[in-house]
Amino acid sequence: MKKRLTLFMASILLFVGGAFAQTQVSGTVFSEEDQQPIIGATVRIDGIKVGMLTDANGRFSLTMPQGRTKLKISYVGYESVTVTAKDGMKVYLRQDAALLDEVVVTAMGISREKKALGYAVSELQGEELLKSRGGLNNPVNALQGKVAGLQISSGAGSMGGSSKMLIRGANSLSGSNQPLFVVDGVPIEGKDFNSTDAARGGGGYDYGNLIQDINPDDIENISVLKGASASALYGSRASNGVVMITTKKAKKQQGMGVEFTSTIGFERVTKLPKLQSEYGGGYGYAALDGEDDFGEVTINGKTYITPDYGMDESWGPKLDGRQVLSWYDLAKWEANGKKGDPTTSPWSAPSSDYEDFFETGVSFTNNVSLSQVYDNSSLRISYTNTSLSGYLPNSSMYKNTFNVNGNITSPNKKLNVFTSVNFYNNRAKGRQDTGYGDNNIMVKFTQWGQRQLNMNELEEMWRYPDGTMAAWNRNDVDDPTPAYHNNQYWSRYMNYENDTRNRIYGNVGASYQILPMLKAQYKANLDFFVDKQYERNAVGSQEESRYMEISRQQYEINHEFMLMYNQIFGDYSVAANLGANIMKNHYEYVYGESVGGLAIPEFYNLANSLTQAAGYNYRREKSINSLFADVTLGWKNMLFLEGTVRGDKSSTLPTDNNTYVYPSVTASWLFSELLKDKLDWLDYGKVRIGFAQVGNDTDPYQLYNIYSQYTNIDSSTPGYRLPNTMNNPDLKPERTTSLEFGLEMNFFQNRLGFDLTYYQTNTKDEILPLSVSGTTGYIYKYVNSGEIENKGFELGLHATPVRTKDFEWTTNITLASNKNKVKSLADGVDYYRIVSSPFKVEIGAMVGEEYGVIMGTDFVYDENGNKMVDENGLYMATDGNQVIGNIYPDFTGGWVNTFRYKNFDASIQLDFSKGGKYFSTTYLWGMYCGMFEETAENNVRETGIVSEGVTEDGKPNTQVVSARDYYENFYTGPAAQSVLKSDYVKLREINLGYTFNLRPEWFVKSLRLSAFGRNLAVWGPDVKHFDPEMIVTSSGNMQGVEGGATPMVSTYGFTVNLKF
Amino acid sequence: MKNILKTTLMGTLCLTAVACSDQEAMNVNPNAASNVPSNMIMNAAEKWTMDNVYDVWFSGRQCLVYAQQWSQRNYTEEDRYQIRESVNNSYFKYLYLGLNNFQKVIQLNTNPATKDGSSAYGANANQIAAAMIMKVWLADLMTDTWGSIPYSEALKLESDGVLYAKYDDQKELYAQLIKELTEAVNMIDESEDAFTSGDIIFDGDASKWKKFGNSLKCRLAVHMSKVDSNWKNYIAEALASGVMESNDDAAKYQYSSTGSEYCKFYEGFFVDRRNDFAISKTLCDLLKGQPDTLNAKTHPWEGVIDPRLYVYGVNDGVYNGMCVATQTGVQSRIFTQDKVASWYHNQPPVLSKTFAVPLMTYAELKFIVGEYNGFNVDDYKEGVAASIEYWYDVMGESISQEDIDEYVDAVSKDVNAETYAIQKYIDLYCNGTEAWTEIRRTGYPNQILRPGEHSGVLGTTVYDFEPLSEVKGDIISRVKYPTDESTLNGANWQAAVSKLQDGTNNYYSKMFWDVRKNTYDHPANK
Repeated sequence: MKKRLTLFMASILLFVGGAFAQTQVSGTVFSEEDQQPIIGATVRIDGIKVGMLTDANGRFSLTMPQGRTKLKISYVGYESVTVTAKDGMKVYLRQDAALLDEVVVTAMGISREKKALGYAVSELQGEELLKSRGGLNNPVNALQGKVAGLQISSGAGSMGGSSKMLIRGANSLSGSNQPLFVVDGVPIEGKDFNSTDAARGGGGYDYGNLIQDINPDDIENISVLKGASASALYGSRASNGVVMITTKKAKKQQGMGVEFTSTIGFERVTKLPKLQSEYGGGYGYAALDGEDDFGEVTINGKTYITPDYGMDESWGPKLDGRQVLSWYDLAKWEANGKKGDPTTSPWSAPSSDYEDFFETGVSFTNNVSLSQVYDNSSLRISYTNTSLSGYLPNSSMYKNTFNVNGNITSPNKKLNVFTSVNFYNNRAKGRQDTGYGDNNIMVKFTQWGQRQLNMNELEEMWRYPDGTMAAWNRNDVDDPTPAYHNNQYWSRYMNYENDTRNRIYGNVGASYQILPMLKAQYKANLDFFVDKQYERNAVGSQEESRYMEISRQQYEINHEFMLMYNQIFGDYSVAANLGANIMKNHYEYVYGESVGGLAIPEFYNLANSLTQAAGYNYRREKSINSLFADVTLGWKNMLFLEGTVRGDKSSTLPTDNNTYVYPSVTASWLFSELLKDKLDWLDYGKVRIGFAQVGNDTDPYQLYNIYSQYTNIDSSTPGYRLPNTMNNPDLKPERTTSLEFGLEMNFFQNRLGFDLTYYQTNTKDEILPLSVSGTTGYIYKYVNSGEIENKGFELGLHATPVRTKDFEWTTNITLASNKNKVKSLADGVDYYRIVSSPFKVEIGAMVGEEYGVIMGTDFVYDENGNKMVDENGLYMATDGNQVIGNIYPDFTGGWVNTFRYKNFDASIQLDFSKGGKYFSTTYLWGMYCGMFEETAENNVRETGIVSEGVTEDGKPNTQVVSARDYYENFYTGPAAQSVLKSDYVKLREINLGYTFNLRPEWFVKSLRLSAFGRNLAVWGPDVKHFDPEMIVTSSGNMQGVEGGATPMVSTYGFTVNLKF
Repeated sequence: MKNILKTTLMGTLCLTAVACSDQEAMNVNPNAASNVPSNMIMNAAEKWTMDNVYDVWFSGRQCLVYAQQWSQRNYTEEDRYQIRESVNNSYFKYLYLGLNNFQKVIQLNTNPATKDGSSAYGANANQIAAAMIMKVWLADLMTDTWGSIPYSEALKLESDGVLYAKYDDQKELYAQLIKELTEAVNMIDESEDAFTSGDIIFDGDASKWKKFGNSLKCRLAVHMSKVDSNWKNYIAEALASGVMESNDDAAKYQYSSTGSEYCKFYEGFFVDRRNDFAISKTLCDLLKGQPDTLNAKTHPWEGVIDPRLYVYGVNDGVYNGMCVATQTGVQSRIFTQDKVASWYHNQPPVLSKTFAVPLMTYAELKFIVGEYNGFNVDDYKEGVAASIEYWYDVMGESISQEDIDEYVDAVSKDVNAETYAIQKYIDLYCNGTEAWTEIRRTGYPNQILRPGEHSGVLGTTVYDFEPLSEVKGDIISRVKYPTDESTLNGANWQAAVSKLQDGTNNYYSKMFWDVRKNTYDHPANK
């Protein structure tokens, strides 16, 4: 075989060479920057279309025809040179800064010239992620607004919480639409393990999606492959796009490179719901029945006024300063052994309100990296440490990350053994309970509570000297046990969670340059993690005391084989890859929890369970075997045609239907090559077109019916019941088909340019658990559903309006619009429920509508569009659920301006989202319970409110109802009252930096100081109480419901970067 | 070179092939069983059903407050006929899941492939009969809650792929349920076990299942006493076939104290820590022999204290009940003012971990038979005595025969439809739906607070029972269909709603057996 190929090669050269008299020339091509030989550089004889590629040693050998003396040598990312041929010559190529960004990392880690791509790829340098990270956020949030068509919603201030990413809209009805993350070729688990309850606002902790484990300090660059064309080679999991991350490798320099970066970040709560401060806790007030809520109690012969401690609403008496026996007076008195008389406090607005509960979060991030390149090897080692104390009392997080990148090449440079390993260690404590959770302090502050409560009193007296809780929400004067709520500080200090994650991901592999144009490579990619979660509810809490422990372990290994072939024939170039991949994923979950409460306070072990602790376990295995190939044909460096094909065989599908093959074809034409001489203002122009399909399987165990263990009340005969979900042995693979067109143009020495993409993506036969009517005997059934379509455009605009020696201003605008339509669901089905919220609404997909409709009761409108009011003077609600909103935006975008003046640089970023709504549970209860500002505005509690609308006889409503009845109707009336717009414009980021001029021979070679601010302001139609972004509590598709959301925070910080 | 290529390619394919061979095995779920004996399913079906009927949501916040046996001491939405959509959605489907599990027991004993295997756990016919009886018991409770519901087309997703089940007319549904009961009791072979193990209700005793089946037929028949002239025939058939003969035959589900398998009433209070309920003043005053002076209503046995007071309430020496459904803020203040015992601190027997929830008592059967016999005194007396003994037994307490006799005599001076209804109402404690059904059927007890009547007094202010939803002056007639059905079974839901009074999904549309002309009207007694 080897002989034959050599012969074939030789014959080409002979054929070419035979026509002329000949001179033998050989030489080596090096990179000027690191003095390394360049493999695969094109060496052509100037004037004729004959050439070859350099081999693994950067060497070439050519026979020069007579009359030809010049060689043109080129390589992607380097400036081409034309030199006089001389035997034994050494040619040094210089990296071309202007061209550098034209090389992008594409699927399977293959570097490609951007101009050859028939699809849209967005690239970002790693440093973009570093600029404004305070150590607090999910690193992917830094991509917000920077990539057209990439929508990122970050859970506001939730320490290490989830971020939801969406590329080109939702393609999948169920599950998640999160793109696949690939770090140095290793597919990384990026999802979250949050409970459905956490996602739907029911409660539970947001542990964040695992993609936050990537470390920005080690990222060289990020490529976002948006369409199916770009990701066809990754198969199933890439149908939502791919985020390709390349980590930093050692760079050639004098001796050892040492770099040190340190960031200090601060975070402050900025966006809190606005609450009323005129009325305190309770339920009755003067306007209601002529008497207020206060009771009386006699202690030691003295009579005291008592508020309604047990009530958790704020429809109580006006805060008029009367002296009352507050919960705090009672608790202090009780703590002191009930000696003497209790004190009293004025019934007035709190001197320290709930914003005082939040602290300033502080984070420190330090990174040090060492790197060196040797003759036959290179190594980079980096360590990052982050520690932070969150803005909530008793919250903290620590992260340690090691990254090692290295390779060894054989002396002949043909064999290259390489590895990239990341070790990640994370521990966190005191994440915030979300949604309607018992210990979500936001619920207690904004939904159910008493508005006169003083934070400093709650903090000072959160427990009695005997260790039991002091509750503001006590059952009665003589009964200090909590009625519904824990003291918020008790929630934070006693009922907290903690968690840890240890993770290793990386690869080891070897490549062998068989021939100059042919390389073989094998890589083993591993992602392994152990995730532990510990949750506790202390003895003495309002809820039953509890301890639970979850242990998750997952590993995924991908064995990847590839043959890579590159060749040029005259005007034609060929690049081809043939590969195989074996993927195995193994997941295990063990869960233990106490039953019936805990015996010994503050002892957290399953052995402390009052009755035998319960345990559960779950195992899951999956494998996909794949073969894939792609071929790119180029003509005159101007026209490119690429085809790919991949076949997968998945363990999760029925054996007769588990293999699926899918192709892609893309083409691009650099029309500017033709116009280059005619239009000198046109630097670059390209049209591209792409068609691709991606097949997809599903999660394991959805084919065969099983029974769920339900009870062991009869010790001899355990009870098994039918599961809620009916499985389906006839599932077939899903298929996503996409079509995209693009136009890229740059003008005026690249000072102005745009990249426009139009796409259409249709996903068919998606496998999902269809919600079915309970009358079927099941709640869900697995089906291959119908079709969902996304159409849209993405526009990236870049301009450099000013460029002088000292001053430069560049501006980048990204815009994207996505129109989604659910075209069909399963046969005869027109609605799919994604999730139902705890109280009023559900989120679903309805045929003919956009994906993600909010279904709930609406106002009843008359034929003129007026809201109808019932005989009680309150808004009427529709009988059943109707579409009352859509959760996804129509338009998103960002605008980044970057300035450089001498050594100063600055950037400012705005981004926006338009269209889209959400249902706010906080809004509902905040109104219902008389907490929100509106419930006390304009004297409504004294004078009442008239619902704006018409009565059943068509006349304008004039009936005055009490404020409480009006606002209670937020719960009992139409759900549409609590649907808010999620539109916003946000001042996302401001960065300032100064780079000192230091000489290379100094000890410190580079010094940069910078400062940043993030999430600085938000504007929008419904941002009075909330930042619309804060509603995210999972990375999956269960979105659109706010419930006790963590408030939005702003982060600020300073960074020092030193290079030695 | 050739070899390298060959090796690489061969290696790839080999590895792929090896990996393929165990791919199929990989997709067998290691976390759940795929074949389960029928008695294990019956076991779970029984418990699932009990867990979802006798809990603080379906019962505690709905039918028990509609029947005014419990009152919410703070948030009174349901007491005032404003349901929580999410709860209504959940329970509607949970109860169907219960039906489907009973259905599965029937299938496993019918399907030729599994029939023989299932017979190892009890005679096929007996298992089928027991599961059918439970299905009828549950379906009756469901239709009496919502009205017309899917039944004939329900539970057919697995067998026939039916995603959308039509709502059966309630009258036809009743006929179908009577028919199924007749079939079920006729197929029982009393010489064989119903279940070798796993049956918590009757411990596999086929003859008890038969008696329960016939007694249940009497319950359904008496529901139709005003609308189906055959009702007496059904009862006659049942009596001929054999009904419950003593408290030993009562259908109840005994929770055990192992692990976390507590009665859901207990769990609602002590695990979820919701101190939201108290015994209703309506029931409590009836037990205490205390007339409702606020609304000038008499008490048939004024001053006679019912021994069951000690079982149903908290023994704090006061036994004050919680007034019915005033406004949320008022309610909690009346709770304090009236010194209603907090169940949280003083646990009544009904909240014990091992409470045996009643599906149907022998006393109830006696009251039905007595009504069939024209409200006769003997059945009545036997019913009242049986009820007292039953409830004392459930609580693990005993009561002397003299005490029973004394009470029975005191309440038997004038036996008629009204006293029957009141005693049945008292016996139906915890059986919220059935108690509520009987109120709707008979209009008794008169002591049930109607909308507009005075509920409680706080200081000097009198609060009335003001429902939050339109009920046309009557107590709640039905629970709305859940919103879930409007999205997941839209056309059928729409069709069912259009048949309701005024064509809306309301609380005032009557059950087909509820033919009262006004709230107090009791046709049987007129």
